Amino acid sequence: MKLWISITSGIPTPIYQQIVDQIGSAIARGELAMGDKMPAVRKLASEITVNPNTVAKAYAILEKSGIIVTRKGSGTYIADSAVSHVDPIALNAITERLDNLIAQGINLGLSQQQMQTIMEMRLAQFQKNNKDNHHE
Amino acid sequence: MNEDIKATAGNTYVIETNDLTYYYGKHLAVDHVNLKIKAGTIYGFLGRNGAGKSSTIKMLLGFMKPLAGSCSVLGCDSQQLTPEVRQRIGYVTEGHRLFKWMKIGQLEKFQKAFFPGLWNDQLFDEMLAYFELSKKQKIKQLSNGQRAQVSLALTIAPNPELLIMDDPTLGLDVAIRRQFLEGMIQLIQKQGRTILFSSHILSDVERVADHIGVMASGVLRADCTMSAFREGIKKYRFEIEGGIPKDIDLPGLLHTQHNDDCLELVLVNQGASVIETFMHDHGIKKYQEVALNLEDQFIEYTQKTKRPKLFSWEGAL
Amino acid sequence: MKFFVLVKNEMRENMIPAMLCMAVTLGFGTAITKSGINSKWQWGRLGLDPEINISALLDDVMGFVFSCAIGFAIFMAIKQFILPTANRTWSFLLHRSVSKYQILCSKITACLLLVMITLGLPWSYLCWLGLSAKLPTTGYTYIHGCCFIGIAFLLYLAMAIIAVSQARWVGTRLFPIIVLSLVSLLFAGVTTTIVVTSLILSTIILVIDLFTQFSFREFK
Repeated sequence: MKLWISITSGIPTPIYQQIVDQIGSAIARGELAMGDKMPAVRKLASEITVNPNTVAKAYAILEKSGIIVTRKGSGTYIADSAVSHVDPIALNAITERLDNLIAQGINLGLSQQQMQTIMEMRLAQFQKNNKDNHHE
Repeated sequence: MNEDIKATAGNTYVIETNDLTYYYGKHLAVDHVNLKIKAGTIYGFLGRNGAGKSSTIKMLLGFMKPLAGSCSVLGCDSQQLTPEVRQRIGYVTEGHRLFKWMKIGQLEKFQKAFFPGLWNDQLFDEMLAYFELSKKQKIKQLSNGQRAQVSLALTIAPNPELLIMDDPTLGLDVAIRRQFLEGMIQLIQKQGRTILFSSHILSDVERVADHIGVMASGVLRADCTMSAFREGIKKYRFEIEGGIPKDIDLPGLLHTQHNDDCLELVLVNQGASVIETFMHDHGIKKYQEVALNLEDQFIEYTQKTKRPKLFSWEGAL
Repeated sequence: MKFFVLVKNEMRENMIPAMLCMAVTLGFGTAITKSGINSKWQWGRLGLDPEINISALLDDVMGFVFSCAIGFAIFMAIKQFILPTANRTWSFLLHRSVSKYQILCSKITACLLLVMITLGLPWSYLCWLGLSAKLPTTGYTYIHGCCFIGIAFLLYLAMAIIAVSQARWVGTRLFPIIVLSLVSLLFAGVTTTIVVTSLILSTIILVIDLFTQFSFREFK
């Protein structure tokens, strides 16, 4: 399927972030599958009328997160370890619940950093539990 | 036709100004501006009317003489621009002023004569076809938008190494503005090209500029990457219970605003720790980061304040 | 090549007004000359006015050609130096890949060529026409007419200097007019050689002044 990105300028979200988010969503919705070839930076920049450096920055962020991978001489592809196909309705539900949790955290007076720390701790705990479960 | 410019290395400064200064009578229009623009950049020159952007551009092109300081483009002093250097510069004038008495075809021939060996006939014809303009049309019969389109085609066809545009999309409709942006993106894709454009239309600048310069009252108040500016200016809202703290002095503080129970601070290039310290010092428990778009950030940054500060963008990404 | 393009551009821009001026000069000029021929030649032939020579015949039309020349000079000065400021087209023109002096030179050259075509040619024709009256002829009449056309060209240069000059001191801005006035005064009762020499000198002075003012000019 073709990658369809629509950039809105004049909103708080920076453009590179919009590109990152939309590619992530496309993967989550199954529009982009593992191993799919990504458009070249220049081509995408031309299509969506955005500075190529901005597109490159978005690609760099995605590559750092392991969502895309560049193969020399070949191009850029969706990484095998990228988010697998998730039911979009379920994803919406989770996002809503997370929003509620975040709101509650803010009301409690937690800072963004604190909430991130808590999240990371719980994820790490999950991973540890996972490993422990596998070893049993 | 080899369109890549190999001679320009990534570290060369295509535009450089040194304490550039200009007065209109007693009014200081350009105040010791130090600007350095590297090759391969799209540089958005932002500022309100009368901030000094147009005067700076006119000095860069040698139409005005600085009263102090100097400026150069493509390594050549602006006051001594040689024909060889001028051939490498594309210039879109304010208001797209062209010779009204000419037909588009005549203007094409006129322009072509001054860019020998550089003119891309095919590109010019394609652009005219895309704009649905005929070479037989007279300039004086064209609308503002159509004249802008001709101006764009005339400027891009010689494949300029440096493109300078003075408020190119002022007064143009959305579709034509988008054509200008597309033209810019197409040009920048080629190796070694640089674009400097001044604009009021922040949404356009946000899309295509990777570096920006913010002028206010003749001073270059910010000169950094677009992402540094976007990420650097943040607004925080605090719920105050025990009265607004007086004389707030935080590093990077741009602006404060408050009503009875709510305080807003705008900070430049500060991390969360500064906020946390501030909250701790004043016993504030709740805060919220207010999302800002580029226009909000620009307005905050160029507001006239009692204590105009210059913020350092050195080292910002 | 680029200079040629600039000159061609300037001439083309003003071609229609120039042709109009030429038509008027030629048309009315011919009428005046012919009527002069008919009346004055008769007087001469009848021996009633032994003094009559070609100069008397052509004096009237010389005055007319001079008026046309003045009108054309004023028009060219406005078109080339005042209108671009009003229309803000200097920026586009000055960004040509030539020195700005070449741009100025192309304007002056174009105007000179147009003056020669629009006024010089008709005047030459009218003199040739006047010859048919078979009156005593000297070459001076023709030269005098050319000098008048030359004065008009000086007026063009003077107006250009005033339009271009940014000098704060009034004297600098009025200097060209002073030169012009002085030269015009000379036209009364001096030899042709002096007139021609002073015209040439004045042209050189004004051209130098124009280039100097142009070099200081800022195009905002």
